[in-house]
Amino acid sequence: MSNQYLSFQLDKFVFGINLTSIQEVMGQKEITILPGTPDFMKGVINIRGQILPVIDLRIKFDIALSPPTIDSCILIVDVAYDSEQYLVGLIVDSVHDVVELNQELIEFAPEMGNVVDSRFIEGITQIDDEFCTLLNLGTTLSINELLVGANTEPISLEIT
Amino acid sequence: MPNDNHPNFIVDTDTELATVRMVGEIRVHTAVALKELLLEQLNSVPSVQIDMSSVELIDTAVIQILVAARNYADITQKKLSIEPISASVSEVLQMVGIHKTLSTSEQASL
Amino acid sequence: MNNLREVFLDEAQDLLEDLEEAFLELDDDRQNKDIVGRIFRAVHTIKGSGSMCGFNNLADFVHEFETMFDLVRKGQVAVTGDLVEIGLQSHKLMSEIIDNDDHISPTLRDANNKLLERLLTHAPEDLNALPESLTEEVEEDDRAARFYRINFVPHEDIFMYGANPLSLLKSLAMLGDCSFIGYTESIPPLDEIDPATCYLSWDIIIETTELESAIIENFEFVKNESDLHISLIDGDSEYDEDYKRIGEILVDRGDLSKEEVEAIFAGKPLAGELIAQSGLLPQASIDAAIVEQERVRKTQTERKQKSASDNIRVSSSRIDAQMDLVGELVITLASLHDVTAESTNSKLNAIVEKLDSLVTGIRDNVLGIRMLTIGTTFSKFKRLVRDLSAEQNKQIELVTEGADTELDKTVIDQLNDPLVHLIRNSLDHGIELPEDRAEANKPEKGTIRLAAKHAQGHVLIEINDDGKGIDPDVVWAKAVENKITDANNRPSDEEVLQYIFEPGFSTAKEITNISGRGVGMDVVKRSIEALRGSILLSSELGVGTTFTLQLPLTLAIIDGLLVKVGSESLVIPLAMIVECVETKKESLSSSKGGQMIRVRDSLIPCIPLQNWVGNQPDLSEEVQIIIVSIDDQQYGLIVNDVVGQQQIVIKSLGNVYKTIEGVSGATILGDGSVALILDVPQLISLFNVGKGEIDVAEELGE
Repeated sequence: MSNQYLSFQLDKFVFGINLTSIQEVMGQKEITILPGTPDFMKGVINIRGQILPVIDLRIKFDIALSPPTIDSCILIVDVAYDSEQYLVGLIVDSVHDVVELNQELIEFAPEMGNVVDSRFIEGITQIDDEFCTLLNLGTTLSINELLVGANTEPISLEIT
Repeated sequence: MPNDNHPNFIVDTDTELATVRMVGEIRVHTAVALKELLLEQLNSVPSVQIDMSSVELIDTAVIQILVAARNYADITQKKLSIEPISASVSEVLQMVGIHKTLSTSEQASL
Repeated sequence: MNNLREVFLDEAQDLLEDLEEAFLELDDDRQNKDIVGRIFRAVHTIKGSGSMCGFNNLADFVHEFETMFDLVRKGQVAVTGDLVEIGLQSHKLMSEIIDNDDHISPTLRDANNKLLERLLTHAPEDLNALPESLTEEVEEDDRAARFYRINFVPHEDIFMYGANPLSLLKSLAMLGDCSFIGYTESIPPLDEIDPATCYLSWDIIIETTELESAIIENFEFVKNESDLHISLIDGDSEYDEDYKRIGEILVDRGDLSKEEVEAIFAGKPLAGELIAQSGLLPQASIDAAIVEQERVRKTQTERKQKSASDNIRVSSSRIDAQMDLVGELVITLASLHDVTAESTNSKLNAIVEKLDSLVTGIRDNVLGIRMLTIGTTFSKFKRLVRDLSAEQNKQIELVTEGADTELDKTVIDQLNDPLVHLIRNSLDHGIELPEDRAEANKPEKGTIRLAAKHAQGHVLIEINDDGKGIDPDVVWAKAVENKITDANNRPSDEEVLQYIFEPGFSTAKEITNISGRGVGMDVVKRSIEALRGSILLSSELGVGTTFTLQLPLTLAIIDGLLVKVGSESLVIPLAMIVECVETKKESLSSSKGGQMIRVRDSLIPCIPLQNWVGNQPDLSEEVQIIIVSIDDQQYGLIVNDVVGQQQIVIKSLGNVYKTIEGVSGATILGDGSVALILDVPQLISLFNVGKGEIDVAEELGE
């Protein structure tokens, strides 16, 4: 793990992801819908022949939805969890900066009162007087977590 | 006759067939006795069977006797079959490359 | 270092497979020195590479087997059923040690020790003296073997000196692989023989890595009582295309002069026979020459084969990566075709044409590399059948056919579990106990036949047993009991049998440790279908049961129909499609269970894929219905548009999507976007289509 983090914006919140996990930052792309998956799973994209899932972090974290802007982009992150390794795309509002954070600047997240479930948080820090939530990608994007809330109801045969 | 009570040979004779059963280790010092015994049987009955299923060991001299018996039987037009044979005999016959020479005509036709 | 370890694990896997196979073969052919040699080499390599990669416990354990099989190889220990059994168990333990990363648990150690103790009961008493010399000999083994022709003529009086030429030949046989030709011509008839005279002499062709001095040493004891001639037949391990002709050998041996041979030949063909007819030489001399010729030729061909099978080990992940790249190439080519379609530049078009054929060539080539013979899978089953039939006191022979049938590696890998299940099923429920078979006038030994063959772009695998068959009445009763079907409407026996593939069905009266434990035939069927294959069952009561699997040759590229549902592109495997029907939305007839389309005389339930895809605008007036067939039942998939038929490069979606239903994979289209490939049977099961509604629909249609 390096001390460098990439910070990005979701609604009015700032998040950070350790730079070693970031593969690529790319603009918006046409996403192929993956039926029967949870709402936050927007679908799949093709990155140089590899097909990977794209997740809308606003939906995943229950943050108010808003239409994409010109700044919206997809972060391609490398997730290593439970001996599995895979790439996932994350839709975020905008990307800020790469920041250097010494370990002593990072605090443990309190049990309550966080922007997101504390399971998903690696630590909390402050960047330019703003709180920044550092995400634990392993727990946020574990395979089980990616499937939470999938539709299991039979599908209607009615046509519209 | 001295052969009848030789510890390594058991002979069972009727008018048509003599069965010579060999037992244990048969070596050069038994070869003379074996020669006499086989000669006697081949001369007295039309068909001789040598049962070697209980033979534990044979040496070169004994193999020679068997080949000689085969030759003699061919000349005198007697039937000689050497079977069954034990695994150790079979192994030796294979090893000296003369199992073909020894096998009876019936076996050969198999 | 890690890399080395991986190579070892890979290699060990192969060696263990080979080892198991060799033990099973050895059981049938206990005298076969080649098999013993194979076992010894496999064990030796496992030990050597194992200790190099830090598998010391493994190496220690294997060491004893190496020692034992070295003795077997030298003829000092005989192959017995028990030894084979020990070998097979040792194979199991070795696999376990490797699986546990060389860690030996107390239970495993206990098992190891017990087996080693049992192994030692086979050792000759002076075993302890032997292991030291082992490494040396193995190194010698790696040296190229040479052929020597040995002419051994004992003197007439050799017996007087207490020598037995036979025992010398026995000890000679330990130096290498020998062919013996004994000269019996001098032996007189029985009445003339002197039992104390030695008449026999020998020619021996020996293939050995030992030096000539070792051979001379072997006869040292009788050097004054015999004549010994040793000549190196061919020193090098490389031989000319043809080894010497019989005539040349005889001249070489000094049996005949060159002139004599030429005189006999005088333009005639078959040397050996002619010389024999000529009566110049006893048959044994000619035999000796023939043996020599055969031996050397055989070794030559073996060497040739060995160099021909000089393969490169490539990890399958690299081939997968290659396949990915080829997939990319195919996709890129598709976009190139799109761009150049309107071009009138004939030079450009010619280049694209050329590129097209090259890419097709590369694609076929890589697909070919991924093809493996199914034989390796088959040989695993031999062990399974052997072990399980013994456990159940049944006598069963596994007969395999078409082991060289090639299938995509992925298919073979995923085929293993279903096949194990089917074979276990035959073993457990099919083949009867010997006494029951005898009573039914069948041979006590049952047969399970496992056959693979190619048929029309597919691979057919048949698992057939000559057991008691499956009783359709029992199946029917069970199906009714488990509410799988409607009790009042019994179809034909053959159709009834297929109920065993329904979820929650099991005819086993009691649960054994082989089959009938939870996992049912429905799982087998699903795994076969996941490979885009199908499974059929036929059975005759008292005669036997046959399962027939039909599988695609490859999973990498399929023919698919590209369709549009709203904004999304989807691929339907062409193999499932019966026809496409264009119709208007309002011409679909509604029923309680949804929409129906009338195609000729039947009403087919329709499935609106847009409801599955979600977030799509309403259907337009004009729709396309893709009629697909699953288990003789037809369904219509409602889509907006049919784009066309094309070759689809399948991309696995990986574990992240494992639980996503209705999708078997994805592909990348010419424009770089992703299209999902539908798993049609699974997809249909997601909709609320039940058998009941179909019946209603059929009634409506009448």
